[in-house]
Amino acid sequence: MKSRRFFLKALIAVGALPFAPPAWRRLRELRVRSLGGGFHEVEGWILTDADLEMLRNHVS
Amino acid sequence: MILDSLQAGDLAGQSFDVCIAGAGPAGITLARALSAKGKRVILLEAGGFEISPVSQEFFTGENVGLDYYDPFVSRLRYFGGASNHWGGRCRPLDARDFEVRPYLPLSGWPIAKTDLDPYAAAADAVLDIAPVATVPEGLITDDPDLMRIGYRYSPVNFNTRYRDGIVADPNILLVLNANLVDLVLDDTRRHVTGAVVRGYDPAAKSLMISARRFCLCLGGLENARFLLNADSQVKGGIANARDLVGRYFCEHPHFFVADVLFENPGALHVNFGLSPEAVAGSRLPNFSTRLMSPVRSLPREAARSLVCTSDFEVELVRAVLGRRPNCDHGGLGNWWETRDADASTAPLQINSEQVLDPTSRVRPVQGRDPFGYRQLAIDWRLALQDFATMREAVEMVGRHLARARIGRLRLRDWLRDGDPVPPGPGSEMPGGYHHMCTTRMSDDPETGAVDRNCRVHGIGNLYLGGSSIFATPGHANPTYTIVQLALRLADHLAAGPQLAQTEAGDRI
Repeated sequence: MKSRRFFLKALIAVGALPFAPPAWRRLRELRVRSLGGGFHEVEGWILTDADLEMLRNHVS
Repeated sequence: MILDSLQAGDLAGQSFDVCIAGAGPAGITLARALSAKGKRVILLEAGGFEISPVSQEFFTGENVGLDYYDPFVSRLRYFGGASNHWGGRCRPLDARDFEVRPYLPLSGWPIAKTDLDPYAAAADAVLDIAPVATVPEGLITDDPDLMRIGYRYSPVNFNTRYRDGIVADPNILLVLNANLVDLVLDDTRRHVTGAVVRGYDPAAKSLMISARRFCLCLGGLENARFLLNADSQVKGGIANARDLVGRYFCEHPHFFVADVLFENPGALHVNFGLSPEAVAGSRLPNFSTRLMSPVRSLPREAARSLVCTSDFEVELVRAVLGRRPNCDHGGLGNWWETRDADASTAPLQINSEQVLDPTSRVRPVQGRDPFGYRQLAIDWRLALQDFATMREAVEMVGRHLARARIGRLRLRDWLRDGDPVPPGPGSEMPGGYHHMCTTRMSDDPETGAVDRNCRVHGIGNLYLGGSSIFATPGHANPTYTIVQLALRLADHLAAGPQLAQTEAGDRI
C-alpha cells in the first residue's frame, strides 16, 4: 500500500515537472519596478541595486 | 455640584452661562476652563460614573461601508467618554495640517497651528504630560524623506482624574443620566433657547434647560447623529441646511501595511514621519509609520507590567528617570503571547491622514434608539489616493531601512492590489476609534458646519467641541488637539461683550 502511494506521488511530481518553472526562470520573469535612486520594487519587496545584483548572480 | 438625575424643580432659580452636553475630554476640559474664568456651567452626561448597558445601548449602530469597528464598542457613553479606554498617546497636529494644500480637496483650517500653540502648556497640564520639547525627534542622517517622530503618553483618565474636582466645583453643576434629546430654537431659528433633557425613567417628563450658550461635546459620531435627529423645528436637522452634517467622516487608517525582514534589528527606529524637506516637495497627505518592535525581553516586559499597574508607579518612574514609561503596549501578557514569534520580522503599521470625501459619512438609519431617535450608520470609505499614500509611505520607509542596513520590507498583498480591500477589525486595527470631521470647521458655511470659533454657522449661541469639528484629520491622535480646541473655546466664550456682539450679528 505504501509503495503504491509513493508511486502515485512520484508520477504526479514527474507529470507536473514541465509546468513548474525553475527558480531562475521565475526570478527573471518577476516584474521589477524602478523606484529611482537605486531602489526597486519586486513582488512588494523594496530592494536596492545590490539586492537585485545579488539575486541575479545567485540564479545565473 | 452633582445631580444623579434631573427632576422637575431641581434647577429652579438657577441660571447658567453655558450648557455643555457630553462629559468626555472636550466637555470636561471646557467645563473646568469656563469655571476657572468664573462662568456658571451645567454639564450634562448621558451615563453615570460607571459603564451601564442602559446608557451604552444608545450607541448601537451599524457599518455600511468598509469593514469597521462596531459603533457600540468604539465609543463609551459614561463620564469620561473615550478617555475610559484610550491609550493616552498625545501629539499636536503639525503646522502643515492646518495649511491649504492644493492637491488635497478642502484642505486648510480657518485657524493655524499658532492659534493653538498658546494652549499647549495648559493642554499638557490637563493631560499630565511633559512639554513637547522633551520628546526625542529629529532628522535621520542621509535620508531626505523621513524623520523620527515621538509621542507623549498621558496617564489621564478624565473620569477618575477629574470627577471629584468637578463634583466639588461650585461653578459646575454636573447632571448624570441626563440625555440631551433636542434643542429648542427661537422663531428666527438662529438662537437656541433651551436644551431638552430626559432621564431613563420612562415615567419622567422631559425637562428644558436654559442657558446663554450651548455646546455639544457628544463625540465625533454623536454630535452628527444628534444634529441630524434634531429636526423637530428644522427640516433635515439643526446646522444641516447644506446637507454637510455627518459627511467627510475620517479615521486614521491604522493598517499593517508591510512586513520587515531584519538585517540588523539593533538599528531599529520605531516611528517615522515626513521630513520637512519631503513635505516641501511632496504631494502626499500627512502620515506616520510605526515599526512594531520584534524584540521583547522578559525582564523589560516584566518591568513594564510592574510600573504600569498604577498612576503612583508611573509617577515614581517619571520622577526618577525623568521620562514616563510607555504603558501603551507590551507587558508580561503580551510577551507571553508573542514569545515564540519570529524575531527576524516585524509588521509596519501606518497612521495616515485620510483625504476628505463627502461620500465617507455617518447618517441616521431606520433603526431606533430606546427614545425613538434614529440610530447611526457609518459609511466609511477610503479613496484610491489614501491607498496610494500608504504605498508611498511604505516605499519611503523601505528605502530607509535598506539604506540604513536595518532590513528589507515587503508591502502586504492587499495593498498591492489595484483596488485594495483593507482588512477589517476581525484581524487588524482598521482605525484608532478616531472619529473626525463630521461637523468640520470652515469659515465658509458651504464647506463646514462650524466657524473658526467652533460656533455653528447661522446659530448665534450654539457651539461644538471634540474631533467632529476637525477640518482635516492629520495623522496625530486627536485627543491632544481636542483639549487644545476646548481650552481655546473657553477663552472665546469668556470674551464678554465682544462675544455677545459677534453672536448677535449672526442672528440678523
